[in-house]
Amino acid sequence: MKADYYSDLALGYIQGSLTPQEKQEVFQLIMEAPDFCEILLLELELSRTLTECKTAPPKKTAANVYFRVLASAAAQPSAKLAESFLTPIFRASLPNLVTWMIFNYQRRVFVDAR
Amino acid sequence: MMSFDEIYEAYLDTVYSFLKFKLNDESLIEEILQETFLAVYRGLDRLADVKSIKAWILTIAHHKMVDQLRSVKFDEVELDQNMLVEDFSTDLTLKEALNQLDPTASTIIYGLYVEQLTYQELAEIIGIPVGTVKSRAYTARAKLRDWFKGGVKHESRLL
Repeated sequence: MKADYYSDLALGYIQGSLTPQEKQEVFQLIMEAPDFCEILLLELELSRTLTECKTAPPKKTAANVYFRVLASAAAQPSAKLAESFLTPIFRASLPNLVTWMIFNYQRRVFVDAR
Repeated sequence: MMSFDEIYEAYLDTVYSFLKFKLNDESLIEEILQETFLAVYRGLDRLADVKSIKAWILTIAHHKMVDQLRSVKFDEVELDQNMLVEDFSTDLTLKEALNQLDPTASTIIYGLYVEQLTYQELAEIIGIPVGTVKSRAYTARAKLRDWFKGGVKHESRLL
């Protein structure tokens, strides 16, 4: 759809994310295509108005959240710490443990079979 | 690599603004902010694999928001009526237009225009295919443009 393509081009132009070729195309369309100019003006208006939606948090919120995050992180052992502590233990002990369990299971099965 | 403090400093406004755009309840916003940045703190070791920190954090925030809203059993209708922003002090007419978009479409519009996210990043944040993001964006933008021109101002629902 031409309108969709024009919308993307107009938005890209406003946001400054176009390649030099695309920018060239925009300049050409501004000269030649009134329907593109209309979309560009509306996209500019939409962009300007929506950017005003951006709000900063109150300072109290910023400080509260920061301290609560750090407190939560300190209160619970992090997954990374648990992993670095437990993984070597499991790696070292699990194969032996599983071998021992299989050995005992086989012994029991063979005893029962007799 | 960025430290947690640097990330918090750089992206707190982005996450807060996104949640404020979507939600009405300041204490809920604070709770989701806390969960989001706690997840960021715990995921710092994955930061090297992240293409866009902003998109990564907004993905976490979006998931946390959806989880929170599910846990308090808000359905879509209640979400629209009770949780979405009702007071757009910057522009009353814009408020009317945005309130008529469904939550996903308004998230896409917000991401495109306010945070300048790509379609790919928005698809990852919301968890829908890129093609769907594009088509929803085109429809929503076309309706908003029409609305700016005064065409569908009093239509009951834009999407």
